[in-house]
Amino acid sequence: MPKNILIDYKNVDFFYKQTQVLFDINLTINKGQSVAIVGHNGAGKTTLIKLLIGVLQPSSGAINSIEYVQTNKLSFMPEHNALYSHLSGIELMRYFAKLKGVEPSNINEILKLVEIDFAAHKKISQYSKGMKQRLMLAQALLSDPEILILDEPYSGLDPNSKRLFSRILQNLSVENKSIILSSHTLEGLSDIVDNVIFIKKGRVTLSGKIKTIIKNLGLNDKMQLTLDKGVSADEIIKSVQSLITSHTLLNNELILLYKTINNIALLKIIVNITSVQDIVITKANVNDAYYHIYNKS
Amino acid sequence: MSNPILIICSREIKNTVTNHYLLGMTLLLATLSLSLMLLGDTPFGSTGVNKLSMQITSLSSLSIFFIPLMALFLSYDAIVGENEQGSLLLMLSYPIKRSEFVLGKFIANWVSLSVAIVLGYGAILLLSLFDNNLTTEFIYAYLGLVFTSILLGGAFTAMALLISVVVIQRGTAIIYCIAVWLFFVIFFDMILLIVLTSKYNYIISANALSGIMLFNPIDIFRIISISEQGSNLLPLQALSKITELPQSVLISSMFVWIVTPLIGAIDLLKKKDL
Repeated sequence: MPKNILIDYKNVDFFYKQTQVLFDINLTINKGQSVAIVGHNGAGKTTLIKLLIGVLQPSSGAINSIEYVQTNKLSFMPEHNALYSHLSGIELMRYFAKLKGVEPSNINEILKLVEIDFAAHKKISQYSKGMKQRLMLAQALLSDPEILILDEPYSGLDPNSKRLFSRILQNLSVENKSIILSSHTLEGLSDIVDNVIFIKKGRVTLSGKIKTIIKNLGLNDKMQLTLDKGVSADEIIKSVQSLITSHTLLNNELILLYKTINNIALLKIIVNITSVQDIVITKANVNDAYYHIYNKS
Repeated sequence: MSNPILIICSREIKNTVTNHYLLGMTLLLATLSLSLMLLGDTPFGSTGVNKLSMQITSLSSLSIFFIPLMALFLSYDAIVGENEQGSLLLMLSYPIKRSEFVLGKFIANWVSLSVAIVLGYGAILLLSLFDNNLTTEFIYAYLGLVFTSILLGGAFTAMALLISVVVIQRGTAIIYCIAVWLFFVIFFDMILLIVLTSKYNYIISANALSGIMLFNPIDIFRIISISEQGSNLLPLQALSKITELPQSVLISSMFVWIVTPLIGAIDLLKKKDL
């Protein structure tokens, strides 16, 4: 196994009792790589996460991975608030530090990082959902892990907590930690992960670098034009007809969908039309890839 | 402290202290045992029956009803509760073996129950001290009762853990625990008694009866308690002769009742798809 490969799954199947939940999973995760496992609820994301953390064993297939399961190289943040609510935040962190066999000296620092140091001595039962999620992330950071696996980390978070999570995960990514997270949405993930695995009904439908996926799917960029009153949208459409794939007109808002390759040519034509008040360009992103994949039958 | 079993055990014991389970169990056992001791003075005072024997027999009955119940309710959600709230998944992603997790829980709950037994029944010692009744004979009988009660608690703690691994919901665990309690405390002996007093009593010989009773930790406890009283326990002397099994076999059987469900719980948790 090459040195930079952390996890390598070949043709992995998983059966829960008699029901097959995962089919022919092939995935390779390299050192320092950040990956999002994306799919609808019930697609098999959590089962795949459970396999990755070693709680479940594959029914068939080959796994070549470094020995990370049940070691301090791995940290896991489950989807649900798996916390002992009768303890205080600091008591819980001390307990988990002992179980990981790490010095509890950096607990305050971690609690400060996830911005719940002010509630360290409060009972977890008094925490809000966002605070509990942040405490869950804090426990995952205890042993300075090489691999961080997070199951639906953004689920139910308020915008502030989401921003905080993204900032922490981005920093970890910069530190060359491997981040594997599952999510049913892709909102805000493209800043954290560079790779994505789309999973549907237990099968990996598409995986790879986000940019490559968008390019290969031939997704459209979007240009939104705010037209001056009395300007004919037809005239604009006629002049850019050969460069766009479709258009929508709503009041004085004209939305043009086009291939990225036509971006400059299209913009050149549009800027010459003086009757446009405003232009907003939205590049095709991972969310578009998600909708493209999941809205197909 | 770096042993996961000790870390889990220590945390669980702290939990039973902070959530007042330990205090509740201790007070319940102390109140009931003291009531039995005080009430026991009156009816048997002039019957010629040894007072100590009757007191210990009454306390044995208390153990038979309450200690299995306490053990079952202390441990029924030890695993299923963690699974339901999602913390089991998290714990098993830590460097902890499943066997260590079960053992940590088991030892903690058994120790907590044992502390409650020692302190709860300790009230009797205090009472005897005030009454100037604290004889060597009494202390010996008391220690025997405490020891066998602790073993009984261990057996039912292990059974509760096994149930907690098998089921997937706390509610189901409660139902199974009640069923287990009813079976071992009431139905097992009831069925045995029905067979022995019926025309089919030839099915069970005296030797077979000894063997059958080993299949119920309550009966093992009962036999140990009775035989510890020996000839002092006049009304039940005949019953004590039902089994000729030596104490070593009875105590070993009790340990089998502790170890077997515990191994079962560990094995099933290892195989369980979470």
